[in-house]
Amino acid sequence: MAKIPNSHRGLLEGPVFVTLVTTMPDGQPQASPVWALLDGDDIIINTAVGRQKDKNLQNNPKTTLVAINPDNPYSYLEVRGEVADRIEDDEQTIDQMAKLYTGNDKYYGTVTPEDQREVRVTYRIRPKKVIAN
Amino acid sequence: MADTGEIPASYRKLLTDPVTVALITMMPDGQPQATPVWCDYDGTHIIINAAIGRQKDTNIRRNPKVTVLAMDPENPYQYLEVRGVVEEIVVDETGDNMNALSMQYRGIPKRYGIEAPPKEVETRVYYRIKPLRVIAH
Repeated sequence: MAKIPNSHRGLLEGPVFVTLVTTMPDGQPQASPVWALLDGDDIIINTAVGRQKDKNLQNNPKTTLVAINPDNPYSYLEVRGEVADRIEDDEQTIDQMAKLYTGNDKYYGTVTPEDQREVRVTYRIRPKKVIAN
Repeated sequence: MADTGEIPASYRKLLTDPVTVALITMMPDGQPQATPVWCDYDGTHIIINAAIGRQKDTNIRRNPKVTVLAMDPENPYQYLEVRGVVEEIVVDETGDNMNALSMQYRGIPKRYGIEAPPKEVETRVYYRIKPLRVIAH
């Protein structure tokens, strides 16, 4: 397991929007911005069950994240890793992220309206290779 | 789903403004590789410049499927994902492409020997990426 260097941990501790990359069934990369948290050296992301990234990660656990420093785009962190855990029906994590990224205690009812509530799923991503620039 | 690869007019600025985007290529073992890059858009293709022999260059020559993600720096909830294919790799012999990108991103019309080593140090190429599927959010 690779370590996230102290110099770049801030890029994964929010509130920086991180690019999460998964792989489509045809081998094409799929990328979208996500919120991220750091737990030790694991990266935690959250999405809704059934989204393209959720399908892809269940199909192929190889995933890569890139976080670019918003104040200095020459400074960035690339993490190539693998899904270590998938936790379905986890709203606590998205609330924790909402607090960090938006200041709201709850995700639903603030960031996203209550009537658009979906089942949330958390992914724990374990780094295999880390490139810090 | 049918997709013409058309980039909506309102999103093109994410490719033509000085926005650092993520370029994703595929490693030989199927792991995605992602790096921040400068880019431009010529109306049909996304243009990205790199040095020959870098990891992304090696990956593209083996597997031309690439994806570009551009987030609006003012509002990261707005973003453009372009899944595409590298149709052409052009050697930037004159340095004109790199200099144009330098102007776009840094406001400096020349790059080599100023913000980068002299041109002789490395061979630069640019990729012409044809969008196949576009997600504008």
